[in-house]
Amino acid sequence: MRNKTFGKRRIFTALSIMTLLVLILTAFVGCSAKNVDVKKVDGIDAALGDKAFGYMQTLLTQYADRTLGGGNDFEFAKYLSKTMSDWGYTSEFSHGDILGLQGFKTTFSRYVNYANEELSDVWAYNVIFTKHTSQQSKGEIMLTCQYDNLYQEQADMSGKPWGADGSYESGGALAVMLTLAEQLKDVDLGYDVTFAFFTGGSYCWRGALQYASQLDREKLDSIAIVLNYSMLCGDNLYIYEGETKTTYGSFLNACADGATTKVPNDRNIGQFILEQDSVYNYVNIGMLSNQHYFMNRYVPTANFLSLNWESNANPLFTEMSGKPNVYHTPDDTFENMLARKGEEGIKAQLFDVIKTSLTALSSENIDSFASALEKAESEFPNATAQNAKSASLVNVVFKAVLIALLIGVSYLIKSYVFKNSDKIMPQKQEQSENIEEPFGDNLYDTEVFGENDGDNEDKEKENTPFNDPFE
Amino acid sequence: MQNNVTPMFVRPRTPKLKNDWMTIVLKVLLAAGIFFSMLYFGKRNFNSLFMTMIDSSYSSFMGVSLFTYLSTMTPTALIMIKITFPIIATVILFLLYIVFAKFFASLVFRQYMIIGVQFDIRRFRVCLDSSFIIMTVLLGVGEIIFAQLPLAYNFGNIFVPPIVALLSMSVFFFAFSRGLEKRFYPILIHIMIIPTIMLVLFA
Repeated sequence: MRNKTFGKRRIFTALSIMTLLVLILTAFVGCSAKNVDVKKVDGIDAALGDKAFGYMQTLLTQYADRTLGGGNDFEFAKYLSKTMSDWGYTSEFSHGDILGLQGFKTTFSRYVNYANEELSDVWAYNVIFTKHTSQQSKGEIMLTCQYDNLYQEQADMSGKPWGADGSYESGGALAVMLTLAEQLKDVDLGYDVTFAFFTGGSYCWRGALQYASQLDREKLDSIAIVLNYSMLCGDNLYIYEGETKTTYGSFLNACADGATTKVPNDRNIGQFILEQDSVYNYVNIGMLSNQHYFMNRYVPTANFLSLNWESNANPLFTEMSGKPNVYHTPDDTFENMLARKGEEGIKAQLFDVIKTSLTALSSENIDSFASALEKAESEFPNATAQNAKSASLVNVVFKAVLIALLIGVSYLIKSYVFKNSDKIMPQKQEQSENIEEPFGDNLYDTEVFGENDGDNEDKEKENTPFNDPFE
Repeated sequence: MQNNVTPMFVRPRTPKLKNDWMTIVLKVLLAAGIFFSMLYFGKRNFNSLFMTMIDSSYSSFMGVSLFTYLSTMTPTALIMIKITFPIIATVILFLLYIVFAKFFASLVFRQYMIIGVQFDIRRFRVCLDSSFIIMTVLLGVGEIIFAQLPLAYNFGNIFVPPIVALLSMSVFFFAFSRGLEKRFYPILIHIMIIPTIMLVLFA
């Protein structure tokens, strides 16, 4: 009977511990499904994929070299400026007489002839254009991408410039952004819609960092969401909304209507940060793009990217199953993209991204999107409990407390042993009488020092309280 | 007049372990356990190499472009590196463990000598090796679990290793103290404090 009760208690305790563990883990992850309502939008034509593909070809033929600090990046920035201006977008930025350019100086390294060459105070240009709403603005929706590539990179044994037009990293995203800008030029959503073409994406997204760090809190708070387009035309399309599930993320995925793949739980993370005071003390491939610097400033973000996140074929990340990665290699070319994905595949994925964005930013769905975005602030992870600083602090405090406890236990045991030495070692008294043979039962092998040792004899003499000069 | 055979002091030697099939199997299992935990721990840190790819400015190491190597490496080569690093870490950690075990054994041996308890080095190493196998496996499992819960990793990584270290020392205590008179338990715990602090610090 007693054993039965004891058994029940043990089961109850085990269940309680398991329940507690599950509660703690789910509190950390917060992965509850979000209900969203998305209406179908008519008139989003598959031809938009063709249009985006056309932009990619234009980039290849006219602006293949968009290397930061390489000269042609400025020409491309001017092209973007002219195109956006022609579509009626305005900008508060200008560089010289060129509207929309946010010029800034930056220092970075590039490999030239296999040597790391520092480029100091290089002019870099973000291209920022906005369409302001004619209504009372509900905030700002930012659409962002990088436009630079590594065309002039020479990190190669041959020492020749790579000539990589960057179709995977930046080309596809640029094409999507241009198509979206063209489609949204006459649409008034009740939001200010900003298109930001950032430079320095191949060097840790310097343009985005420059832009985000000059915004004050009020301006940051006015940004409803940053929709970023990064690497496109890999295996699967993902919308990465951060480390916690959000309503707006579910909304965007619903807008994709099955075109996206769920971001996997095992995100293959790297233990480094891009800037101080990062929300997380690690990064994953979904975080690594322009939107990262907005996310670190607690702005809701969503990153459209395409790769094969489930595959572990490449331990860093895998773009396409069974095919070598092209990210930041000389092989990131339009020609390779065609060979890997095929023209129809490229068009189809570009269209999926465009369709998802236009569905979310349509008059039919903008109110639902707005209500999803309203919840974003409360869905943001508890930053103070997650960031690198607090983790380091907790680490030090926890270990210090544990060690202090162990030292405390040590002292307690010591005093207990001294107080109860009679109980612990009752034979102590007897042993002290036989002090010449403390280990008389010869339990251990012993190493004897000093036998037949003349030096020790001398030392013994030196240590003798009375030296006999006659001996 | 003087006898030159008077011993000055006697230092008992910590007994040396004579390996048999069981201790060798345990050592192999321990090395495997360390490799297992290092492989998953290393996964996170290996991916930090990705930093050199996102910005070539990061990749100048002693004048060598890691960026180039990483950018042009085949997945097979990357996986080979990914396995090689944990192997090197395993060798280093295993050697450190041997030093730790010898230090711990000498502590226990000397204290047992004072209180007059028989010290069995084989029993000691079997218990310690087993508890460390449990610890390395749990650390590896922790890494796998937290890879699925990246948000929890920050704090998981803080709390789990010291707790697992304490757990493994508890396992050692319960295994090694079997047969020991209860009155000596506090003394054994007291001996274990310094090795436990070392483990908590470096786990």
